Amino acid sequence: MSEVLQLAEYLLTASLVFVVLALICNVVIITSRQRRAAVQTSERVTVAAGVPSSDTLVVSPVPDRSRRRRRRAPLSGLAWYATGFAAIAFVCVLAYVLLRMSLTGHGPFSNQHEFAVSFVLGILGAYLVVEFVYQVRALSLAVLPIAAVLLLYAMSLDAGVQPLIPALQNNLLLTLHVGFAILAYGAAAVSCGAAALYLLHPKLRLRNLPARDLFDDIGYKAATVTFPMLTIMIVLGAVWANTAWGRYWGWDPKETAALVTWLIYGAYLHARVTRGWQGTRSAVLLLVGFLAVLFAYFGNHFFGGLHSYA
Amino acid sequence: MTTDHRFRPEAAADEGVPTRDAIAAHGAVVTVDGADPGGPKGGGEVAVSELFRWVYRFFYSKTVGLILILAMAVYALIGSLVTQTSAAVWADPAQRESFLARAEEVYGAWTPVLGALGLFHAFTSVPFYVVVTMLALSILACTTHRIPELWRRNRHPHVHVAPRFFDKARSRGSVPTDADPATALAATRAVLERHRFRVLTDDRAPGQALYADRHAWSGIGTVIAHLSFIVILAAFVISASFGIEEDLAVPVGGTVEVGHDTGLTLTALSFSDTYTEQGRPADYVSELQLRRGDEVVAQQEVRVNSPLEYGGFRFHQTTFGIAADVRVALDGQEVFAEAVPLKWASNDGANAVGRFDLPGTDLEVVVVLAASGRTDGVVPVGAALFEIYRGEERVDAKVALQGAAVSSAGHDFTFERERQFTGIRMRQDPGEVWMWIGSALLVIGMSITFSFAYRRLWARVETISEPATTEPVEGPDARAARLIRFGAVERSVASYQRLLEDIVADLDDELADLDAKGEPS
Repeated sequence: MSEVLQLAEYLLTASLVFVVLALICNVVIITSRQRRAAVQTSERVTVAAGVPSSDTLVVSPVPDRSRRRRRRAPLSGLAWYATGFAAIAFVCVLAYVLLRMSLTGHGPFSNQHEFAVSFVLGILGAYLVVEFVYQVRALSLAVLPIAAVLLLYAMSLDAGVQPLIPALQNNLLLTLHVGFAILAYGAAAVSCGAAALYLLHPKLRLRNLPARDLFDDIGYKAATVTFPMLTIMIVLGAVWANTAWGRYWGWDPKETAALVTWLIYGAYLHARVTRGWQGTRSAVLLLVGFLAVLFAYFGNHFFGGLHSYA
Repeated sequence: MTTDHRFRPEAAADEGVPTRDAIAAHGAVVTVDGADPGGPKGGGEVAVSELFRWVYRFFYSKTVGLILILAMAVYALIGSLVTQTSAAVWADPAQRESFLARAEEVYGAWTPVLGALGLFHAFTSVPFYVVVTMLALSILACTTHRIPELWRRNRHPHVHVAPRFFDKARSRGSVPTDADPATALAATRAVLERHRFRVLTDDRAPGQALYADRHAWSGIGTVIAHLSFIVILAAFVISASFGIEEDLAVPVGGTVEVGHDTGLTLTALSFSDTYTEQGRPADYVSELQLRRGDEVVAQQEVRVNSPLEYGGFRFHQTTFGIAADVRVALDGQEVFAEAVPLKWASNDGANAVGRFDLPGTDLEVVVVLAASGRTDGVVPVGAALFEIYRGEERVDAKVALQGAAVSSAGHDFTFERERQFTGIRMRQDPGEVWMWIGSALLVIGMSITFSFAYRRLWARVETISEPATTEPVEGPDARAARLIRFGAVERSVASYQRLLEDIVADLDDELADLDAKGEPS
């Protein structure tokens, strides 16, 4: 088993290399003097008066019907490599996770190393989805470094396979509970990256940076994924705690940190939807939310309580 | 005299401002009967009901709700950073002092401050209950306040907007066409329906304008999600008020009463703990048997993740250790015969310590044995030290050899033997079902809210030769006879862009197809 594990470690190293390569390619694309031809049918205009926000979307049909459905420009040149490297990094991490699952017989979520790798999987998956949907690779400037740092962190931890301690011996709930955490945390990393780019946008003198509002929108959309995923994770955690410890909620530090995270994202969504918070204030809340995610994640190092094994 | 300060939908609509958004943006508007618009002056009579309205307004304020959510977050954060103790420990002066002494080593001079603020038992403190209660009221008021608006948007949406709305709308689109107004409107309707919009005719411009929305019903998701919090908070209250939680130390091979008028006894037939080569725990398992009289009603191997369930009670594996079988008699009558779990160790680790309250007295008995493998403690191997306390005062202390009784405080204490015990948490929780109902409602409500985003837009066919708007038509549109215009007030502009682009492109295609088929223009 140790030889297989050793080979598996190369997958992590490879994924780190590909993450860095993807980041470098994207930096070159974003700072390049050449611009890709935009395929869009809409524009933003500034309206002189009568509308609270100056940014207004005006849509009219593109005269050339053949271009109409080509919202997603085909990947070419360095962009092809950038996306390809990110995708390969994702596949490497996925292969590592699957390999480990086959070795251990349970989800790769039983210690900090496994969870760090799974966290990276969630981040890369969320990033690729957003890049595909929004066609915005500038997001990689903020998101891929997070993935790279977490990969380095995972590689610095003991990667040995240990049997599950009694409290974790519930494969179904372990996989579901932590699986939803990974989805939530991956989306949270993307929303954090979008928020950071929104805040830094006026200071960034990059040629091919998308409109600032797009980052605001991506941050919001990612948070609308983060929040329900966090909710399901907490509910599944309560179900598990009720089975294993006899109570669904015990104010265990890790539970409480998860609740704090959930409340911050809840506050963000309420502030945005009911108070119209957009822009700087909501971006700051997203950064605070991701700090709470990291606090909950790394908390095992300094929390006591029933989650201290992880 | 009545002064009506209510928001008037039609007036707003004529100005081209969508009504519901204006309400959402500016908050509720109050109707004041018989009052000066500036409010009561100089001690004028204010109806008692105004107090309730004021309280209601306070709680449905989004700002108040946001502050309460953040207050809850701050409490939760403090609770996870500051060492917590139970309400029972905090209520007991001796235990509290002991806890504070330990806390002082960590928090130093801040200890009294944290203690005074109730932050060592944050989740059972009065301020926390106040925050939770206010949050529940805020959720209830916000939900109640929102229901009429959600009902209106689904059943009676605002279908009419003034023509100049299409000049000012935050998101807008236009498609030039030579089709006649009826054909253009029919094509618009068809395209919108293909995009899963509900299309309604503008009664004030029936041949010219449309209103369309998607997932207008999804507001129910918000209501469900918010109401689920009330159910969840109620579950917490029910669990705390009516739930039973008791830790049983069951000696291996021994039996304890379950109590609570169940007539049940719990026997630990066996216990085993196994470890990996590296010393990590691999498994804890107790073979438990539940009896009513002589009848075995349930029996199973209980592990951390597989509790024994019977009659609404659950028995969870929580801990294990060494216990001392102790028998206490008063005038020859047995008053206590149980295995006392030795849960604690002395500071030097040489002794294992347990305690129990002597039934029918105000005495607390501390039992001290030599720790496993240690011979340097205050108690010799094969003996037990009984220390008798009344409050803080030590009444007596006696060492008893195994099997021999010693007299103290009017009772005879016998240390029978040392043996393993398994720690079982017995739990009955009537709040549990409500917690799962609340959780399910929360997930369902959120799924609806985030999966079925509410979208709406207005469409209008305008003849370019007689423009109804002030906005000039330029470019290719100028050659067309008419313009189909769209307007929407979506906040999330970037994500709405895709939908609007698709609608505009599809409508342009649809009109081109009609033109190619030779439909009348």
